[in-house]
Amino acid sequence: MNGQLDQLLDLICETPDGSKKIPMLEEAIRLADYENILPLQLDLRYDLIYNSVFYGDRLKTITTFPRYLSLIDDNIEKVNEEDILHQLWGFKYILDHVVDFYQISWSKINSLTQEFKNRCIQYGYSLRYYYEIKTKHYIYLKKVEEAKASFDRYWQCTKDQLSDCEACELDFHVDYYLFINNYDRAVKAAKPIFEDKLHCKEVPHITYPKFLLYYVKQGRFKEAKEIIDKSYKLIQTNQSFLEYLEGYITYYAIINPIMGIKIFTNHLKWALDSRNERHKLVFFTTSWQLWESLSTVSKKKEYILRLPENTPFYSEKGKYKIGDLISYCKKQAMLIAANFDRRDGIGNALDYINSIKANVSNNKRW
Amino acid sequence: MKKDYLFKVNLGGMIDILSNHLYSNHHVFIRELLQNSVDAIIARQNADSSWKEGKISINLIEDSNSKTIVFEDNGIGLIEEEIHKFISILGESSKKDLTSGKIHEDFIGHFGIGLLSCFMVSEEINLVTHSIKDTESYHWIGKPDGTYSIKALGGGLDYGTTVYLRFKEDCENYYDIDKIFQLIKYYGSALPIPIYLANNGVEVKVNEGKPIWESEKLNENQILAMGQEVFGEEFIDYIPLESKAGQVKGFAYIIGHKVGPKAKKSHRIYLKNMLLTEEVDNILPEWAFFVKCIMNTNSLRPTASREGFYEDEILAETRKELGQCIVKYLTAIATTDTKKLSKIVEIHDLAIKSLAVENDSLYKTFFDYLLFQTSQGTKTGFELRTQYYRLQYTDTVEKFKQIAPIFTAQKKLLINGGYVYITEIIEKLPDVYTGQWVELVDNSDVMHIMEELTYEEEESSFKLIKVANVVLNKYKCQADIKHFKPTELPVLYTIDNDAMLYRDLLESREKTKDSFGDILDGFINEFEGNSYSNLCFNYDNPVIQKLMNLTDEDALKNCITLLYVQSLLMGHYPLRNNEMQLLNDGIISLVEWGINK
Repeated sequence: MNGQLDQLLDLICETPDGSKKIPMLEEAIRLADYENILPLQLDLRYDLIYNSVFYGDRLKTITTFPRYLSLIDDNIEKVNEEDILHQLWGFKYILDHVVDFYQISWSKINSLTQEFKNRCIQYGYSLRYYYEIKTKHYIYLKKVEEAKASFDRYWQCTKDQLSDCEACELDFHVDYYLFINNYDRAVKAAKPIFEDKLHCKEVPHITYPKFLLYYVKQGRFKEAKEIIDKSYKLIQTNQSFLEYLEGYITYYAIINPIMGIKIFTNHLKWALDSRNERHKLVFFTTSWQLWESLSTVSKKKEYILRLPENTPFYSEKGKYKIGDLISYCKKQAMLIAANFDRRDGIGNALDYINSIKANVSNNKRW
Repeated sequence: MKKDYLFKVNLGGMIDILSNHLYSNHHVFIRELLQNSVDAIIARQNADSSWKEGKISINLIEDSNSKTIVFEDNGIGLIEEEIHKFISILGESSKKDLTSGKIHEDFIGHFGIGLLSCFMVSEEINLVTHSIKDTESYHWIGKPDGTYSIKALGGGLDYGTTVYLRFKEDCENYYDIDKIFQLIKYYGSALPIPIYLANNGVEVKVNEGKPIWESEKLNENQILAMGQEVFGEEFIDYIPLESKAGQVKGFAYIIGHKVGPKAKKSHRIYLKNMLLTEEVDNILPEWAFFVKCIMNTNSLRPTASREGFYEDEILAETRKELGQCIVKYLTAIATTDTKKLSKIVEIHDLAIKSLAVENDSLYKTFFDYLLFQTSQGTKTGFELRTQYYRLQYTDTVEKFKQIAPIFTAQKKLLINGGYVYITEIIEKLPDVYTGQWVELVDNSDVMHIMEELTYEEEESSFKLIKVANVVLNKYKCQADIKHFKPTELPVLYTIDNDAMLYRDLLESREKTKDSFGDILDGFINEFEGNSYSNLCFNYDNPVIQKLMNLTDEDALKNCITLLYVQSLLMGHYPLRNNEMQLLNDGIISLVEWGINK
């Protein structure tokens, strides 16, 4: 094996999972491809997909997966059962995040989902996750009846190695019950999670923000505050949780916009560096409303902020006009929303922006 | 009409699950029996504070047909009601007080399932017990099908409990005297109650001396030797550990070789002086993967399998306090033993870097000792902050590889910030040390440090750059020319993040079946036309000088394409299909051109 690759693999082993591991894995993949070492080509790609899902913006998951899939399919006689299982897990990761990118059309999303179903049948796995993701896609498209039917089918399927995370499944139940406005069932589903009987890499981190958003929408700010106090620390250091800042920023836009500035400055870099369009839509929409709130609450026209150097309107002195902040966030949100609405063929993204605006202006406490 | 029913439990099945599947290995039955004996003796001491003769005796009786392990303690014993309630009901611990229902905090066991582990090595469990509260003794026989019997034996037996385990097929290695000795020593060597092991009339005491965390008189070498004996490896140093929350005492040993954060944790954790497990991985902060510990806790809550602790507030506080012990030690040696600190940082740089990122005062302590890969070789933090007023760094390995040669040739410093924690550490420097200036470098900055051409030089290189731009356009690459060192380098290929992603997307699309690859089309379309890499020709390079004077345009095109492909190969970029074709065509053309000359 190439000495450079060898050295890099040692370094990768020493490095904890995280966003910094992603460029190392990419470099190692290039070298492994160059050397044509199939087991490494597969393992490194799986590792990259995994790290991009849990610590990155998921674009690398999307861009790595097709080649990973082809490598396995083209070498089917050389791969083992674990590789097949990894391939299906890779599929799961893709399907979980594919809607986040407006660059991928629904016909492609649907054919990928169908392909996953075919492979589950081919390799003898349950269709439980297939119906889970179908339900999630219907939730995204706000198709209530279809989501209900799919959720029923989900329950009829047995659990297996593709649905072995109890915490993730309960988090999905929370998604579903909140979507159909069954708050009590959502709370019941989340109970083992909130009692710390079940947890995983992403749960309860992503479960708390879902309730936070629900409470903010319902105007239940006391409960919202309780969630903020115990959950922000869970998500504040991992950029893969960018979308979950939604409830926090909206809460502060409504309750106390000054307090929200820190969240904006702390996480703007995530949004600027991210290529996950849906996450950016959420961040810029809520940030736009935060700055709108500030412009009403305070007479200050200029703020001293520590923003990342790659901010398009970066100022060395750290002085920013509130109008520039509003117009940048608004422009980003509207641009991305238009792309999503073009892809989805419905006005979901624009509706989303309007709902956040309405929520802030109807509930404002300042 | 609504009717309530009771669940029916397959007792045999439950016992099989608990005894054969809960525990990760069979030999934990020794730990469970020791634990029961110790708790029984403590209970007797609690009942009679003047009584101090607690003792555990283990005997291996062998005859030609069978082997029996006899496990005896002179503890409190059980009355008949306790046998029915605690020994014979799964989940009811014999450590519970019959009237209060509570478990005394001195006891090690809690769950009422430990005795079942004996079914892993014995077909039945015989237990003879005589309680200090009763004149009668009892003989209990439990079977793995879930049935049990009790027989009164009358008086006359000594107080305490004796368990008899008879040889089960396939478990003969547990009925070996050396194995039993080894296991008792492994689990019970730190117990404060004497343990005796007898075989063929010979009795030896297994646990001598005090456990390491109670031995205040041990010197440094003895403590290190203890760690070496337990873990079978040499350590750089040891760190005393103490936590009030978890009532923990012990030592952390600093491993003498590199270990990854995912390496299996092998701490030796004792609960109330009894070895609990070597499997626990949540007792120290995540960054502390460079130590192995021997420690005893008196208050953390073990899980039912006894192979981990419940993730509760006490554990969180314990983890924090133990982390502080390690930090305190590292901070101390930064002034008392800098050589040792350098060695630790050199071996465990990743863990130390993660600590430095998290904490400002530790940052200051460690920064000088950290090692950084730069265009001028490996530098320590001390060298960086004292010898350079301006620190330039890249945020990816890729960028560093591309532009470091230029910095090296110009004797300028560039730090490779692509590896984990380095960017964060460099960016934090001005906040901790005033007067330091750090700057992120990207590919466009490199162009600025190269020297511009004069008008005459631009005129002489005009044709080369014009042809190069035409040739390279289809590869989404633009050409430029500058003066730069080293002069041996004919071209420098640089690519920014967008162009790199675009390149990867195109390559991935080419090598993937249409049915999957087409999900990439939307991204490719977005980048199309605005993501260019850059090939910068070196005006001072002799080959480039000759190319500027080459009049044969075909030969010039071939040379440009070969230089482009060579720069990709040098950077380990996988060639796309059209680039591979380019390489082939270029070589053949050059060969033909050479022959025709």
